[in-house]
Amino acid sequence: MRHKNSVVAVALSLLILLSATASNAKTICVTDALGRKVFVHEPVKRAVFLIGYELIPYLGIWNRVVGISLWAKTHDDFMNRIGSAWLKSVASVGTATQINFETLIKLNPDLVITWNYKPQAVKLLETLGKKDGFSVITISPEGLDSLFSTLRMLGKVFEVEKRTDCIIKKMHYVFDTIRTTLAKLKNRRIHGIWLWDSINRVAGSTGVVPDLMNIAGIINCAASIKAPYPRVSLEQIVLWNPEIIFIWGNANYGTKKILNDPRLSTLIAVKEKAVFKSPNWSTWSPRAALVCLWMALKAYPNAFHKGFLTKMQRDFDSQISYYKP
Amino acid sequence: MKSKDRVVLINAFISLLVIVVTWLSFSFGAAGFYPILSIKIFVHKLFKLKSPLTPISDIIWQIRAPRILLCLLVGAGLSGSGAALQATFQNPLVDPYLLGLSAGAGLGCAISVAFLSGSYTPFWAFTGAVLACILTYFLAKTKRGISRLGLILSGVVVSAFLMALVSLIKFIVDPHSLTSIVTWLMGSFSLSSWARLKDAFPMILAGCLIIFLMRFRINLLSLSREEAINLGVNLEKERAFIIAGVCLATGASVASAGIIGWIGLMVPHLIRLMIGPDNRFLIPMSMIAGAGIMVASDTIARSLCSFDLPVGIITSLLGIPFFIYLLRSKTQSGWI
Repeated sequence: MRHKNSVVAVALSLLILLSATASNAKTICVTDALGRKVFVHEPVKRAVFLIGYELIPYLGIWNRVVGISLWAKTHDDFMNRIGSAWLKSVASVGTATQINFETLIKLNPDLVITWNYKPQAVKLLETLGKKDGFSVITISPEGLDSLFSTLRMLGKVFEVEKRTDCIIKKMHYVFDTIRTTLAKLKNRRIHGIWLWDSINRVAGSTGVVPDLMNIAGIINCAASIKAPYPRVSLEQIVLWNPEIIFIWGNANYGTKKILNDPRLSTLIAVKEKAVFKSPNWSTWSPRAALVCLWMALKAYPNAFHKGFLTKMQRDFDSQISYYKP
Repeated sequence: MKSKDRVVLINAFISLLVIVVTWLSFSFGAAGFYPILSIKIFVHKLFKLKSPLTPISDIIWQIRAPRILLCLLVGAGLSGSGAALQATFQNPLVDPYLLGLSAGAGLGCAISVAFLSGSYTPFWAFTGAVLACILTYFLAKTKRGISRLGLILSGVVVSAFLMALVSLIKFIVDPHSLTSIVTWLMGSFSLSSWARLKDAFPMILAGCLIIFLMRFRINLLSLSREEAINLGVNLEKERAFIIAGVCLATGASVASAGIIGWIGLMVPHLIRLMIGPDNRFLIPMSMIAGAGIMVASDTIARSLCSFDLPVGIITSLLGIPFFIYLLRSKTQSGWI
């Protein structure tokens, strides 16, 4: 009899637990970078980030991520600075371009966030997801608006909308401050270029960087090229004759290479020594606002208060949720 | 017309064509078309005149000139190497990358980009190419010497092994480094400079010179083994000389411009169709024609659109239809 009672009690508690879970569980629909309508079952508890992993500390979702791209472990100073212990414990599932599907499936994820770089890989993930019950979201911010909507989408998916709004507000504050400050300046027409991993690879008209340049009061010389990372001839760069040159923070060359290159010696930027290597901050994260501020400071050093960038950096760091084991 | 006169005439025509293509290439680019100015600049620089030059002159002299000269050099090196190897190995499908040079250079580049940030990639690419060539050579060496087939097979094995290592590095690097490796593997002259030209020049020249001087002996090497030995040819020694020349020319070419396909395979065939298989003429003419085709391909690559396309794409687009034509038209001739 006592045995029978305990079985009933367990069954009842299970029923209560299930009904409670069912009441929390809901399915939301989001549109991703490939324009796909993706249904995500909430709450997301076992996410895999193949791209956009810098958002994990900003969204404060360390304990809801079970797998991460190898790039986060090997190439991301930010992640290694604030969550090295977590990076050691979390599984690596290959990279966004070369996914290790077996490891990924073994992790039993409920959501996979990846890049739209390889549509075949997304297709395969989608098929596996249908079978194993996980959703696949692709992200690829093609501009600042796209970055904001990506942030909002992930905020919604992880149910941290308030936190996301707060971060977006901070970003807007930085952008608005730059705009207002620069609006007061009379001569605000500095032509510049942003160089990626090679000295002839520039930021074209698409991507987050061109938008950041625009806010920072820099006219992008390569704006007529409708591509995010076009490789152009050095002849074209000489013809553009930029007044300021920014180098991507992860590039394996520095300002010296540009300043000492005889092929670029006629450029105004080289003559004026207006060549700067950006800090190693991702432009696919809230720190894009800091990159923008850094650019504005380099282009118009007298327009801003000294220490404004450091203050903003501290402000952004305060938004981060540090990993606590 | 005598056969030799015909060869001389074709040679003169091709040489003239290459000079015209090179001059047009010097004159044409994103900055505009300056046929007279390009000649003036050369005269100015040659006679060290002190009169000031226009800003366009800087573009032509600092950017176009080293690029075009490197194109000429690399085109000659790859085509000459291709012709020499095809004759030495009696195999029309052989290209200068046969000895694992491209894979070795690719690995050198991948290591430089992925792990040695800020290092001079062409140096590592050249080192990789030379080491791969040495590895291929010693892998093929047996007690009985080196057979043609053995060398080709060990080249295939070394290439496959090194390319697997390149793939491994491509797997772990970040997307931007990955693009750098991929673009380098496609071949491009976009970052040519006087300094890079100065690095590549002695080695490509030395390689071409060895191949050019050995062209009489290559005719003997293309005979059957027995015939060659009866004529007093030291097969192993002479092959090693040619391989050393190819290694220098191709290794330095790959190091300075990446892997540019089809030139080394296509140009010797093109010339062979015109003048026949005599290597005394085939090798120098392949070098001249290869230089011209490379300059023309690169001019297309940098002028076709606002992007600076990798030249390997253009040479492949030109080379593959030609190769299909060759396969179809020459299948019955016994050469293929």
